[in-house]
Amino acid sequence: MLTFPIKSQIATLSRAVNGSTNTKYLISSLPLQFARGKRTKRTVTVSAGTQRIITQLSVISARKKVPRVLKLSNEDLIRHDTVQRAWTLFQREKRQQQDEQLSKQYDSIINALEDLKAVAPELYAVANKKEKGKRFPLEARIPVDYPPNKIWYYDVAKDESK
Amino acid sequence: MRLTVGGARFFSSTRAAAGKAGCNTVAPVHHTVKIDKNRLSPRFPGLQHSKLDIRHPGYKPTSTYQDRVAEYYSNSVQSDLLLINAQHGESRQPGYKRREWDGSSPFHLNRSLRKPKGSDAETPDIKPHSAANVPKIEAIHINCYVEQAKDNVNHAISALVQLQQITGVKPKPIYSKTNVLHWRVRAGYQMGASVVLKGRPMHQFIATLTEVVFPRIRMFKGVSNKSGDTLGDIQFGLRPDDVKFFPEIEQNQDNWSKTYGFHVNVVTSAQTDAEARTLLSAYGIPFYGSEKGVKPENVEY
Amino acid sequence: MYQPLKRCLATVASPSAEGSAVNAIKAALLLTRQPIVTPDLTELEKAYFNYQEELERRLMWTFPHYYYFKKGSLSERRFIKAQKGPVSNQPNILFEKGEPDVVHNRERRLKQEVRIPKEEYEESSMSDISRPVVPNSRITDADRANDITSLERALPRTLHLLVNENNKGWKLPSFALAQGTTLHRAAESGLRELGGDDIHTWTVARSPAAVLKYEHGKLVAPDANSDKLEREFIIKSHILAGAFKPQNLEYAWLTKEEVEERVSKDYFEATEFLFSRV
Repeated sequence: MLTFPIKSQIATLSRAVNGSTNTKYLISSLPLQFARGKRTKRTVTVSAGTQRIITQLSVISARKKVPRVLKLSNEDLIRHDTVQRAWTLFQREKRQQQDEQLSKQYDSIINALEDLKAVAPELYAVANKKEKGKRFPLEARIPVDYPPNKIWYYDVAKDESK
Repeated sequence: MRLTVGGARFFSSTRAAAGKAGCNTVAPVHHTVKIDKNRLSPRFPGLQHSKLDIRHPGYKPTSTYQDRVAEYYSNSVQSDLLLINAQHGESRQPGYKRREWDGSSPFHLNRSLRKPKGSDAETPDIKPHSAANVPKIEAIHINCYVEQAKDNVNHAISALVQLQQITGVKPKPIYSKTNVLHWRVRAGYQMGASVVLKGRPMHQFIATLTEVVFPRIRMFKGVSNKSGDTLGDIQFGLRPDDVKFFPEIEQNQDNWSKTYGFHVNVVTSAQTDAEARTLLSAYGIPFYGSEKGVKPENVEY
Repeated sequence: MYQPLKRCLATVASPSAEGSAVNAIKAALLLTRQPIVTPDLTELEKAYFNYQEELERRLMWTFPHYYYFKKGSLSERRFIKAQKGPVSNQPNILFEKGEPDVVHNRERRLKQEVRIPKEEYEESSMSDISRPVVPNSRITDADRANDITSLERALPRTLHLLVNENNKGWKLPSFALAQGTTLHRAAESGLRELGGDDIHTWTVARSPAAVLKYEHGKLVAPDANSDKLEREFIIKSHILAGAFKPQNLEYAWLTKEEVEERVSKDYFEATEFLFSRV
């Protein structure tokens, strides 16, 4: 498919060749290109914004990016299944231990509150009251892989005086 | 036996077979049941397995690194939350339920139930706390609606890529559902992107948010104490300028001269918003404003 | 916003009144230092994460470097230079490990190795922000010295405060209740009387996490009932900053296993579930 400027260029070229006066000048100034040898593919010139969108679309598209599908032999498959089962078992044991500890903790809390109710009702009234607006402290951190330069802050006197 | 009458196909052939004209009452299934022909074909045996199976072509390993946020929850937060929420002598508190009509009018017969008192919709019962229902974060929904996308769909595409960059999960485009005249929006326009995060990507997002993004937002107060849908989910938003603090965006500023703000909905298994806020504060999400039912002078530390 | 223990400090325990039921009640404190670094991985976890990561890399899409590096830029040239390109397929050549299948400069049969170009660091810029990141050691001086009174030891673990009063045996610190005070305030103020005010703590909840019952100084079952019982209600709290610095009192910050080594058997059985596994 020819784009418009190419067509018109060819047209002018042919007109110039047919014409008598400026023939020499035109042929020497323009690189001579015949219609047959001309690249017919459109030379795309898009704005920077459009180019960015094209790049972005290609980032999220799977085209030409997908590796080959895994083909595991039977032995590999069995190996993978074994690993997977070991992992599931490990996770399950961990979870069970944790659930057990948690339910022990819960029973112990309820037992303690029940006992407190029988022994000291006024303490129980405070202890069993739901705390509204309870927040974890801002100092609470999700653990990271490596410790910070200053591991522990020992000076709290200033904070307390605030 | 004639199965078609005037070109129409009948699923129940009795009337048609009798040669009588009539209306078929059997709902056709071929429109509603989606058939994945790839799965029926013997050409793709991998598709017969679940996506969690390594033989499926869409298999993606999940546990590729230590999930420090999940471990923090199970090692520290969970037992603390249990102690905070546990109460002696709790009973099940019924939620708002639809009510019977009193039967004073004959039209009450077969009428659908009355709305609950004090609410438009039914709410679930609040169950006693136990070791089995300690609140936890279940999912994070991110929704990015871009208003400018009505004029230029490129904004919707950029928003989608931005969410993908931040979360590492492939988002879904969202489309306008109806025509809204004064917004100049027509139904079917691509208007942005949304993504649901669970598991490791969710934990990664929370950690990035509380450790990198929130501390750098200027004049950041926190999430409002008034936020929440009363069922234990907390919502907040990030402005386009705040999004620039995500490391994936910040390290690639040439590509992100324009960023898009989004809404975040943190879905938790907490039964009330107050409990959900307590849970989120454990991850370092600060809250501001007055909590409902708490007078500041009565708060004891 | 969170404020440090204001009210707790306001209440100072006074000598308790004699002869009431409150007399037989004490508030014990389970003070913990939360882990600072992530837990150590077991061998299985290490191997499994590695296996899954390798699988993920094998199944990953080709890295779109053209998105991250601007075309014709120096950083792009550096990146491309650092990459080891795949071997492309040639006709009439036998490849030992299978015929290459290269698309977009990536060998589709294998994982793609994306190499980050090495930055060159100068000696003078070591204090600069661009210096290479060297992580701190997860094992600290306190670990090496085995200093059990230090808060900087056993970073991946939860530490629990235990005291050994007058060599009567290791246990959680416990305090008598003053008249009109509550359990959590008694525990927090008692801690400050014992270990000084330079400590910043956060009480997890007002309700006790457990009750320990003693009869004539000996632990009995938690459901025991008698008039002569002494009770210790355990309040849970976290230390956030500062330190516990008592006068003339043996104390230690211990992990669960170390607690088990030190406390008596029946005490550990009664409190075992309170100590964190990690």
